[in-house]
Amino acid sequence: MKNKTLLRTYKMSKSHIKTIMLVVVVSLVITALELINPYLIKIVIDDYISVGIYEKGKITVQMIGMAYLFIAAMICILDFINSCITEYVGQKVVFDLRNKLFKYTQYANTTFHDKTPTGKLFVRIANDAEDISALFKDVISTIIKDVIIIIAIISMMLYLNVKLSLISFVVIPFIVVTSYFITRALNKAYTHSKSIRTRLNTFLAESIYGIKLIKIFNRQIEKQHECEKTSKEFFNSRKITGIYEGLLPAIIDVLQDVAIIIIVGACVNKWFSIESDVGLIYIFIIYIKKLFEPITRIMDNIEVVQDSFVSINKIYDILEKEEYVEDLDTGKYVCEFKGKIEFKNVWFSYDKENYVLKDISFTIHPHESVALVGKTGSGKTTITNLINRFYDIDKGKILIDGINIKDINLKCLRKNVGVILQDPYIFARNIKDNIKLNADISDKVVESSLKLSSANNFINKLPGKFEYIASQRGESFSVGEKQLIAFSRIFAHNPSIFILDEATANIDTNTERVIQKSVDIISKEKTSVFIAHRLSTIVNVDKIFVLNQGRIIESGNHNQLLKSNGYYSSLYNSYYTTLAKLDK
Amino acid sequence: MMREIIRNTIKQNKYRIIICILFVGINIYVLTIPAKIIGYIIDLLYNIQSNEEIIVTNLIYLISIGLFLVLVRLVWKYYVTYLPRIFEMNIRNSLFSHLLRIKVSKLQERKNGELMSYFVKDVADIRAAIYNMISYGTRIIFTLVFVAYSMIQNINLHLTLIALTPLVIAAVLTFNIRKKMDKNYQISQESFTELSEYIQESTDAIRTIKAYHGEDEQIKHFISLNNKVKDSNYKVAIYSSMLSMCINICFGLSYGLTLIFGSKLVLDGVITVGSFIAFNTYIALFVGPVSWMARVISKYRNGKLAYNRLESILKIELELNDMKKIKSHESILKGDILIKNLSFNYPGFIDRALSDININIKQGETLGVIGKIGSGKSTLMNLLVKLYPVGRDKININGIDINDIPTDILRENICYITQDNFLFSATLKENINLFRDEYDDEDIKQSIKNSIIYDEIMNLPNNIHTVIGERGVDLSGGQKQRIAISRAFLNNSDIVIFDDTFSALDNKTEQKLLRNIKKLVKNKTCIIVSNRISDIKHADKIVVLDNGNIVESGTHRELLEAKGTYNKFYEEQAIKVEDSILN
Repeated sequence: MKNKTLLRTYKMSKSHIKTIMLVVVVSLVITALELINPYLIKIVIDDYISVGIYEKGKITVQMIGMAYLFIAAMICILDFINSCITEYVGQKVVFDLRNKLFKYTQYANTTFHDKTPTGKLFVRIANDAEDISALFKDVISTIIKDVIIIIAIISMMLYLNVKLSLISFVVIPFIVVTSYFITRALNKAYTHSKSIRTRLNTFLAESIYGIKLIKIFNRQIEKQHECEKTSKEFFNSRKITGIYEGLLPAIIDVLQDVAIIIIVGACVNKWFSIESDVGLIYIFIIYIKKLFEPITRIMDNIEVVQDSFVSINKIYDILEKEEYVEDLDTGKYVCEFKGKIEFKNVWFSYDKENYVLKDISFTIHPHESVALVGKTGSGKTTITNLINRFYDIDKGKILIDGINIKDINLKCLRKNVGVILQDPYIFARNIKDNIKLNADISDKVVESSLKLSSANNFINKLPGKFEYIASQRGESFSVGEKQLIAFSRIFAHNPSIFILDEATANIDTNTERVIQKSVDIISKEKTSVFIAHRLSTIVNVDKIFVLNQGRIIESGNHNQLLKSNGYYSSLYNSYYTTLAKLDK
Repeated sequence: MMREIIRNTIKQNKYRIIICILFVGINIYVLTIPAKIIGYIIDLLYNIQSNEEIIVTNLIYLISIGLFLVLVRLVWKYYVTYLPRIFEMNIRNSLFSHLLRIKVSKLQERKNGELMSYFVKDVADIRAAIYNMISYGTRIIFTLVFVAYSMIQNINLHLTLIALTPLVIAAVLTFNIRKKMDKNYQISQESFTELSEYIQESTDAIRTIKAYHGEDEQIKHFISLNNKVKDSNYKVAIYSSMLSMCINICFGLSYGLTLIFGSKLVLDGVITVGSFIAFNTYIALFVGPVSWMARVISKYRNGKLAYNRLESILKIELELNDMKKIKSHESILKGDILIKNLSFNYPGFIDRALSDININIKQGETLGVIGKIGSGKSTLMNLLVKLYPVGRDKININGIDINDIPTDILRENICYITQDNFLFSATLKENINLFRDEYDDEDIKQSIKNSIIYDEIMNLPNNIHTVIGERGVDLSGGQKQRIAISRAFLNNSDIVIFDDTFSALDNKTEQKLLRNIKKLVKNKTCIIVSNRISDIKHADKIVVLDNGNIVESGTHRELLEAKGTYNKFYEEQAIKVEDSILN
């Protein structure tokens, strides 16, 4: 597991290894410079001030001061360059990962999308990728540097005075332990309060979305109570974190004092016969303070590193599943379909266990119109999803114009098979682009397709007409209006095979009639497959397939099926009697 | 409004605020002491033998101050976290309460995302501003006062001035860089939002994208958005690094100058070595405050903007503002509805959504409303529950002008089932009783039996206590509609409205449901809005809406005989079927 994570991290960053090495080298230089500066002050204290001279062997105090200034400036500039580089690498890695992930989601097949909730994908692309940039910012620029600093300070101290160093290191385990525990407790508190915040935000978002419902049913007081309760919970989860946040630096400061006391105490009492001068004590105090900083920072960053590793794993768990990726490039480029569809003993299941379609065989000839009838769950929609290869079948064959659809280039196939879904998706773009959907279609065609679907009636009333930009998910449109747009889409794209999946459910009869006329005209030259609840809409098709529990139990045209007195005629009669009852 | 909320919160927490500020002050003051002690100890170290005792005393002093500081910091940190959260909570609650009472007509102008950002972003911005002021702002001020005072008092005025000059430069530089950084930060936030929306859309719409083979175009556009995010993030990072570089260079300068001039002062015998070292420690105490200054200002500015945005929301008119004018206080309304010469425009639209509507329904009657998309059906229903304001004497219920009926009483008496079947991520029970606890489980079960969804709900893992959206509990459109309809069976108001709530149901379920509804509304007034003749033909009266006008009205029979629009609908839906059977 750990190895896998490291391998993935390597894979992710291998194109930046050289840059990272450069960062490490620059960090080494910075660290060296940072250690020299306190040493310069030590020299000033011991060799000049304490002795009472301005100049020692041509080197004046001022010269050392200038050197100090120069080094300080160098540190800052190098630090700046270093953080620019790591930032760049971090952003670039995130950029590449996001692109890869997004590409994956676009090329992944429908099975993948059925299994993966969109919310989860969103978090992967937006947030998990972001977490990884922290890995670069904190780990590569900070942790590496911090480790170098710790090693350097410790060796410097040992070099200056071994005994004194060893005594002062006594405090280090305490820092490590306390910061580890406090950081852990703090993170736990944060996670807890984050989960409450998520709940609170979900509550707020839903209340806004359902505000009309709340108003209509007079539930303001109930919702207000819920808001206050969740808000209070969040508040309570948050207020305690302040104590933890204050505790750590306070304890670190005390430990620092303890270290100083140990150093001074050791020198004063000459423990272990330590000999020291004031400058040495000064530099030890400075070094010990400098040592505390990187240690606590590393403790802080452990969590960040863990989080980013978790994110890396989550992302690569998706990216490494190649079985879901659709092949859009290979296959026969068939540009024009005549429109003959054949199903030969097709078996299909979503989960490789429960067959939704069982041994389905039928032929639809070019320019024929066919309706699929059956209860919910009988497999109607599934059949349409197989024709454009949203799913691949388990057994049997599907042929279009005599070619197995598995051999046809996917893009060509889908270009030629047009589907209108039950709940069509409207993008937050203008109406025109919603109809073109990136395809090379002229404005004229868009306009005429809007007329064909009679969508122009409501679109002409919109500000800006077909330049009108739809709100997210087309929320400003009713389902009926969305379906009209979907119709225009399909008219504009003009595929050889039409599939209409209960597409007119939310359209009033008048509008439906207009569309029906257009569909009738177009379906004369095309193969069309309809799915509908309302039997009235399908009486005119050439052939009806009646489905029950994944099998075709009857087929024929409307009149034939009625005469055969089977399942269809019973469905039909139940509908007809309810309609006719009132008239009698 | 905002001012009141803030003022009240301050009043409620005045002691906490006082304690907080007091402890910040103590904290900063005490922080200057160790520097002094260490300096003193170092001076004593030059003559260890004779000073041993004093050194030990000072060391004890040092550690006791350290321990005392732990206590001070905990108190101060606690309140510094506590107080902004209290403000946040109060603002959020007041905002939410206000939102629940705002007029729907005013709300429609704003997108849901925008409303949400008031809660998530603006409330957080105000909290951040308050936090920055009481946590950093106070520390900046106290540091300036106490530390500078200690430097001048204990050490040397000239050295202080020399050492602090670079810090002033640092403060000025950070302001300028911070401004640029904030601007880029905003850009990066915006481009991230844009990217997020695009991801959301692309994953939601994946089937449409695939059906129209638009994958490559989607990817191309994504990469360009992603590039924007990368570049803007990078710019922010650069400015932020530049910020710390400036601060560090200025402090380096300050230390360097101290070294040059301080050592001279020591050599000249003006100050001691200990003072010189203490002085260095004092400078270190400025690192925080100097780098915080720009942040506090920018957070304050953001908070101010958020404050104004929230203020503008809180200024929006409330529904219940009309309470004073209201005469009637009857809490139960009978279902006589009289609509007289009603016309209506949506705010900002020129075309009339409804014109000259006249309808009269008596208690116990059922009205059917039929019409094309956009003919004004739902608008009419929205007006009945005062989601939009209507003029006087246009709609009377129970003989009272609805403007004279308090909104809550009106809505309590009208059970309006809307077209969009929105459900909360709560239990099914809560979605049916809508969080009001006066119904027991049996009532709920009865209502879901009536709305023909009993069996399906009972098959779920926790039946009526199943939480929607959890563990793959996903409901179809038809199921959602029936759950929404069960609310009507739970309600005992005298007026029930079904606004196109049967569209996703199959014929059989629909007919069963209509029979149950007929029983329910036997003595009630019922309005059924639908596209389908079969839903409304039993109604006592039917009106046909077209383009906001009533073009026909009467019973099913009368309307059929009139051979008008209604008859055309009917032919479409029924006659066609009949004909084909006869053939």
